[in-house]
Amino acid sequence: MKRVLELGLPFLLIFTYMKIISLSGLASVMLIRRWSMLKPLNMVFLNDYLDTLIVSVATLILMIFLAYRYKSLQTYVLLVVSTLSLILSVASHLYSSAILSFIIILYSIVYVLFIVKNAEFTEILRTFFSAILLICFLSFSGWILYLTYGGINPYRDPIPLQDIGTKLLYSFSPSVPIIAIIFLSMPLLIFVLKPLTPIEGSKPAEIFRKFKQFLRRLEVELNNLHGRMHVVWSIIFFALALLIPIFITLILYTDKVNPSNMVIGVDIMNYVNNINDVLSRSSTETEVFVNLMKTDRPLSLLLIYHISKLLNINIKTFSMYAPCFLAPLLALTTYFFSKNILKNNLYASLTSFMVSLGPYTTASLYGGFLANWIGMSLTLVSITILFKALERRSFKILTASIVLSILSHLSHPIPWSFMTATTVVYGLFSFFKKNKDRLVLRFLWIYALTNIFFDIFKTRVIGFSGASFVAQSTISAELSIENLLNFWQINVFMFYFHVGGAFNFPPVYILAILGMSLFLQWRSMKTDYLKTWIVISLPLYLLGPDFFQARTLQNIPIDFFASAGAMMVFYYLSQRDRISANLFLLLILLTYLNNILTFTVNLPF
Amino acid sequence: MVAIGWRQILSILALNIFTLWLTYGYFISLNPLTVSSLQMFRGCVLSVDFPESLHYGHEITMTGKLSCIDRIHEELLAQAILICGDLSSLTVNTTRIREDGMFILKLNPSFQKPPTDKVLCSLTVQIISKTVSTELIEKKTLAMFVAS
Repeated sequence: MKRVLELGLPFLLIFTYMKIISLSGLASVMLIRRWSMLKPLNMVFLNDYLDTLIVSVATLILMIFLAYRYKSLQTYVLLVVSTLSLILSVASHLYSSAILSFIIILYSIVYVLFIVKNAEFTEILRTFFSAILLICFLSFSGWILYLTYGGINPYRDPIPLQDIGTKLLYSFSPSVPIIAIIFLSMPLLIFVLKPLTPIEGSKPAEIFRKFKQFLRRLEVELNNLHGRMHVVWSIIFFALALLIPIFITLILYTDKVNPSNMVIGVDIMNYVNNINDVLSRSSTETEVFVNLMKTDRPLSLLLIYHISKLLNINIKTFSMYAPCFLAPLLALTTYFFSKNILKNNLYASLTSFMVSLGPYTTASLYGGFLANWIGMSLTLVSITILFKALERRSFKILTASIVLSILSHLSHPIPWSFMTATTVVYGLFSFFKKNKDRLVLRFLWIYALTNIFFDIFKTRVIGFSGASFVAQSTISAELSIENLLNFWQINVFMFYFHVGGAFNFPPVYILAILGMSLFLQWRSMKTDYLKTWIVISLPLYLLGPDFFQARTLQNIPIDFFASAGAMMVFYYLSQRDRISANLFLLLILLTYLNNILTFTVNLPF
Repeated sequence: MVAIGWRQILSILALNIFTLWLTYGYFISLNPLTVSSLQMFRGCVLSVDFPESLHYGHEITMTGKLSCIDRIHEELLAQAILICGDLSSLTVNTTRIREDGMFILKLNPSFQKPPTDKVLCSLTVQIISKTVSTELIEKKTLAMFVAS
């Protein structure tokens, strides 16, 4: 009996959730062959009537079991309500019946777990994860079959294998704009929430105290966790972070995915045209160098030009396949940066995995943001070395980090601007701290001011393009109160349509909120720096147009928070059941794999 | 008994304003894209007569028909998208759909002449509404011949 409930309830909960989504008429915007398309999230197995009837009959059977086993007033009420759900479903009130069944199942889980305490939490968790994993695995198999055999018209509904997984994931997408803004506001919201601490001795105060204790324990544990499973998972995540983007870039130009052989990446032709334009205007290599230096991203253009020359392939072809090199480079720098924040291999490899297979990469592939890739990689290396310089109080290491930050400036102005603004604001916070470390402060100011002076020198003294030049022209033209008044319309457009809706990936923001709650409890230089990075992004996000919002999301360390959130869940599950913890990591792996496959396979026309 | 100070009152006020803003945002974000637009193209089927091949410099004409169980919504439009190689060749045209569901789409590609005598092009015809693209799409990969 116990086993029936432990297995039946989670399965039925997921199935009923699908029917509610399906019957509610909810839809979401999905990228299908480079077109953001409104698709209903209907999940039909036999037909809506029979599906709902099966749900309500199964619910009634489980409630009979429950009432027979526990013979309490609550179980009798559940039995009556489930009968009502069956009557509603027979009478074709399908939506009401599904909602009623969902509430009954949810309450039954609470009842057997927390009221009569006669079911294993771990068993219910395992069943729950297994059911979702099964759906994700079917999706993944669907994409593999599509890539191997093709033959399906992608404009029609995807084959059922991918259909349920995608729709289940996208059922959370209407809440993405809300979750994202909550995440971005959290460092400031904490000040609003501070005076509202629960009354000492009350139940909420007890829960809050336990939660804080859990977070503090997590800080110690995450810096010391190095079990065998950790090593295995770390290797898997890091290997996938390095290899999958290469594989994805290559399949983008296969006949099956891209029969008309179109160039993927909106900006790629701009890079090609910029370099060709400079080449046509320059007669010597020195002239090429000087003319490229005049642009706002000279290092990126010089790298593309020289590497394609070195490999003896044309600039266009090299630019098309450049993500093969750039995505693993960012995965590598992300790994070292995260390893510096937490001394934990799994956290580091999970973060690089999330960067390589998440919205950063999908948005970059759609937009062809090659320079942003290089700039972000150099920015992360520069900050990693800056942290090292601050820890070891070494001026030599500080010089190295400044050199790298200047290279980041020369690669792309946006990641550099975020980094410099973060350092300045963090420097100001540190200045007003009670126990300030004067040497750390001095290092931070040297770092920030050298960068600012370099930019002033490049833009104002020599008269070349640079970060402040770009920032001045775009901020004055694009940021406005009007954007704030129309924030939701702009934000919704950004999530669903900008760069093909690459940022419309709910797990990132859900996990990032958890990660932020973790980092808000921790007081260290590195986590404070990351939080400052988020704080400085908020005004741009609120006042900017859609492309500003998108660039903001792309140039803030959101995956570092998401990965911390995932580690939090993993640690919580590990304490209760190792199998569930591993199933959770497997779920993350498959969800991200499906995300990059769903998005990139649909990138060409 | 615990006294509530002005800090608590301010916090509660700020939280309420933030929650209201989020709730408003949720409904704004949910409404325009999720349910209402779907009804316009439910029960519709699209069929398109694509040309067999394309010739550079020549106008492309296609006819098509949108058949719906109910009436054809006046907000729906037919759109043709041609792309040959990279995005610089993108050619788009949109037309109204007649009451009987018929439409004629014409494209006049004016992109730079391709260097080869034959390029592969992707020709797409889709039905769009004012806010979003619908699921109604037909696509064909065609060869475009370039006269020397």
